Amino acid sequence: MNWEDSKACTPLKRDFHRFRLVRGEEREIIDVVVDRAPQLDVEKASFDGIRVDTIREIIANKLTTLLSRTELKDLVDLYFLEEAGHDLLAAIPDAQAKDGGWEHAVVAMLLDGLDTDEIPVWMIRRVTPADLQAFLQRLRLAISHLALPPT
Amino acid sequence: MQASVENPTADNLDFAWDRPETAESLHSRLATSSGAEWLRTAAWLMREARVEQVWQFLTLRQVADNFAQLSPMLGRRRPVWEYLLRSAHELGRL
Repeated sequence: MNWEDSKACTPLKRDFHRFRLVRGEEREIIDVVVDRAPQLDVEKASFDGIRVDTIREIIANKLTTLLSRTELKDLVDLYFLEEAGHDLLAAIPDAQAKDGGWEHAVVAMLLDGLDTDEIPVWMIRRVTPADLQAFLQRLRLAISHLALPPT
Repeated sequence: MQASVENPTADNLDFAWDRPETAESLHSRLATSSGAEWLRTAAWLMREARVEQVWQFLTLRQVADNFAQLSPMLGRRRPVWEYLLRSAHELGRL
């Protein structure tokens, strides 16, 4: 296995570098990015010399993507994180600490426009469009509820 | 220093970038005005403040009942408020 600098794919930038990981006939693109958002957990676990974010950090980062790009792949990740027992709504203050623009009403509105009809083909665990749609609606309404004044 | 909407005696509200406005003065303006002046003030608040800040000055019922007149003055925030009122209906809050 070796790493090829993939400058041809992406212009080199100070906080972003793209590599192509090669093993035999296999190819994988690896993006190395400097994350300048505040870190919730400074101490990270290390696996074979690779530092990996904590689950808390991963959930907070995933929640910020609902605002920054609103893509189905992030909803899929959140679906499985919730299925694993993690409380997504309780993690919203963490997401707001990373992105000051994270507003319940705005994120709920963006979720309202997300289409779950086409599940990504590269899924490593199964989820049906109906399950994902039900999760999306439940998450959207729960975040909407938090955007409304207390009763 | 940024003002806190929790403290009516603090300095200018953090979202009142274009005018002198404290929480106390805004509460007073909304309580004593009516008609076009109330609508202009409420729309400015809904346009400039975060939604959770708005609820410190307006009720959901006030927003819903006046939305037809407020809507043209909400600018880029209009879709957010339209969505929020729709979800309030979905959640049985209106």
